[in-house]
Amino acid sequence: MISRNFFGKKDNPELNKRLPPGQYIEKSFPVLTAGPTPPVDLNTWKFEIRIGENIDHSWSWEEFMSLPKIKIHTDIHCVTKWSKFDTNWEGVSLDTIFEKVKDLNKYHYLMAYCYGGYTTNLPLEDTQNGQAMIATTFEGENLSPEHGGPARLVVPKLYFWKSAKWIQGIQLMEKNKAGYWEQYGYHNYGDPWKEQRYWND
Amino acid sequence: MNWQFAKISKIITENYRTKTFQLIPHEPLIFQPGNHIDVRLTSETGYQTQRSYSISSHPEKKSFFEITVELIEDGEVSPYFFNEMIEEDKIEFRGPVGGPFKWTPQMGGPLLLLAGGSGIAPLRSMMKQNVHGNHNQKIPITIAYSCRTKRDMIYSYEIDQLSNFEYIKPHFFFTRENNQEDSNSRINEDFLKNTLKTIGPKIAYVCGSTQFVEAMCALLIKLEFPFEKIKTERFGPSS
Repeated sequence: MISRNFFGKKDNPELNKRLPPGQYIEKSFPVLTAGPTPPVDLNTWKFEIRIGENIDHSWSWEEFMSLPKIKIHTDIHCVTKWSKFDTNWEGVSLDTIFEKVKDLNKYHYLMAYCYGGYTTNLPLEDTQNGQAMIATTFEGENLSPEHGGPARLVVPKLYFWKSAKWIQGIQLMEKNKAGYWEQYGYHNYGDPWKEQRYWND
Repeated sequence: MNWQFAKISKIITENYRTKTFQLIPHEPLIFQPGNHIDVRLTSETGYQTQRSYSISSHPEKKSFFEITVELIEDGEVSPYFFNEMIEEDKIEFRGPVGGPFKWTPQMGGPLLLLAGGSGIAPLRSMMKQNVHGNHNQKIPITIAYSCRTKRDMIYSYEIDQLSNFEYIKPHFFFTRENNQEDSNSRINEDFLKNTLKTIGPKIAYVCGSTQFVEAMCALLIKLEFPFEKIKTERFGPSS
């Protein structure tokens, strides 16, 4: 349906090649969270890999910060319709984390779980080969609490709710299971280029 | 979720930069207070853009629903709604969409609602559900509504009327009125401490700008209100 007299002042064909369907460009960095920002204490902070309910490996903040870092320069896309171009993140590649896991190829999915109780599920293969990191800085600054600091998952190829804030760990799974928003009706995979916002999209 | 159409049956001017759009959907919309819809605009060139708007009306009114749109001057969609749309126009939308920010009478109360500016929209739906809903036990609701000035208030007439029901307690705060020295011009720690003690809310709903939501949540957590009982909706700076 054509909207009468709607011209779309953000209709910039050149820029919009980089914009997935239904999105618009946002210069600021809005916050989307289902609840309050949880307090996270670096002295007790841990990042864990779980296999089933068992902790397979864990890092303190100090140990985690001594891991090799990578940088990602990327556009990000939030399911609430805004996209932000040219963002810069630094953190630990999930490839580095996965080096600790024996028999990684037994698993096909992961559940990211967070301080504050948030969870989100992803296929393992979409988080490998430099496609995902645990970010600790944004634009050269320590990640602020409202944007997920001290550390968050960043998986830019998917809608940004998959990039779980305040990450506490990753649970490896053989079978897929719905995370927090996914149970509320948001898409299990969340590819912005296919506009997979909600179930059945 | 499929796209569908709605006809604008009525436009209500709430204040100098906010309008409520009453919409009659082609297919009835079954929603819960706190849910939102996605609106999609399409230009003649085929360009499309979407925004989300909270539903602000009473869920048991089956024939229509309402969204409330605040004008963002340099925005793309809100000026179109505000300046271009007239009654009988059609819009394309899908929904309802919802997450944890919702309330149904079965969830009980008492409720503490904290609204900043147009963030009152989904909370209005909750209040209407409680007052006009077809459930026996009315829930005590305390609402604290913070605006820049009196001119920025929306639904003020309605909220005054709602306060005739003894189980609805509204409090108003104006952060930029002339009497800036007045310590009661902001929702502050003392007010919240007192309110938590007096009404013992089961759930707190906080809706407004990110800055408002962060400030309110920080106070609630400081006052040891349970983290998991705080539901938030942040209205971004986006248009």
